[in-house]
Amino acid sequence: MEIARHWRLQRHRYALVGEVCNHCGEKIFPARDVCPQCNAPAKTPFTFSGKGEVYSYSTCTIRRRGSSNSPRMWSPLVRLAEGPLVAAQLTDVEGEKIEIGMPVEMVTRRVRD
Amino acid sequence: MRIRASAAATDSIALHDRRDLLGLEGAALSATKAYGQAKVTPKDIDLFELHDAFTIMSVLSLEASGFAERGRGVRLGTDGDIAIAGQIPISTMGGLKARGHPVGATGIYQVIEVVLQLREQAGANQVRNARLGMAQNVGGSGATVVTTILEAVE
Repeated sequence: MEIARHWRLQRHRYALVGEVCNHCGEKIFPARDVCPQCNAPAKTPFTFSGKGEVYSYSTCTIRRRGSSNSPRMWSPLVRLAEGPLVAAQLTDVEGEKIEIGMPVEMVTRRVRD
Repeated sequence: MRIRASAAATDSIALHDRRDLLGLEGAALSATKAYGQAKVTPKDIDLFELHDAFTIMSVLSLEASGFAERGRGVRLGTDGDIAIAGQIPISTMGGLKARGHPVGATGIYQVIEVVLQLREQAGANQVRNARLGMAQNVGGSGATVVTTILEAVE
């Protein structure tokens, strides 16, 4: 991916910055400049707390190439506390037990060795 | 052969952006539009070539297209309603699970199989009195859905 695109996605990826609609209050992630709830223009940045809960999940047992310490990869859908649903990966799961409704928070991790 | 309906609808491709993860809103919109164009209801459909790339898609397509209530689609399978001689035969020649899913070509396959049924050329897989056949092609796990209804003409 070219540098310009990485640059523009920085705040989205690492700081979970989306938008808030000043018309209806909807919290929007990812940022899309138009409110999906009421269709009003929505360009005010909003930083999500990073907290949420597992809405649903899948387990992938195929090891990611070049990543020696990811024995299993979980792909949950996470319901952020402020409303939006995001697709993510899970790490540091105690006892390797995942449940729908389990509280999670956003962190960053190095994936490749 | 008469084309009674050809209706498209879309939904977001990202599952996490869908309004309802337990249904196919795109398929529901497409089927509703198709029924409206053809002026028919699900009861009038004699066979349904649906998009069973994955088994769950058959269940969701049946529910979205009005053949079963939400969450009850699987009963159509357990109760035999989707067999060739059943209430709503699906995938009469094996569908995507049997044929494979040659992506862009799949929709063409589905329509051809409906035509074979309506022309009574389906051999051992023939649905009796097939007059109105429906084909539904899905892209992006429900992001793009096109429903076609064909009628046999004497």
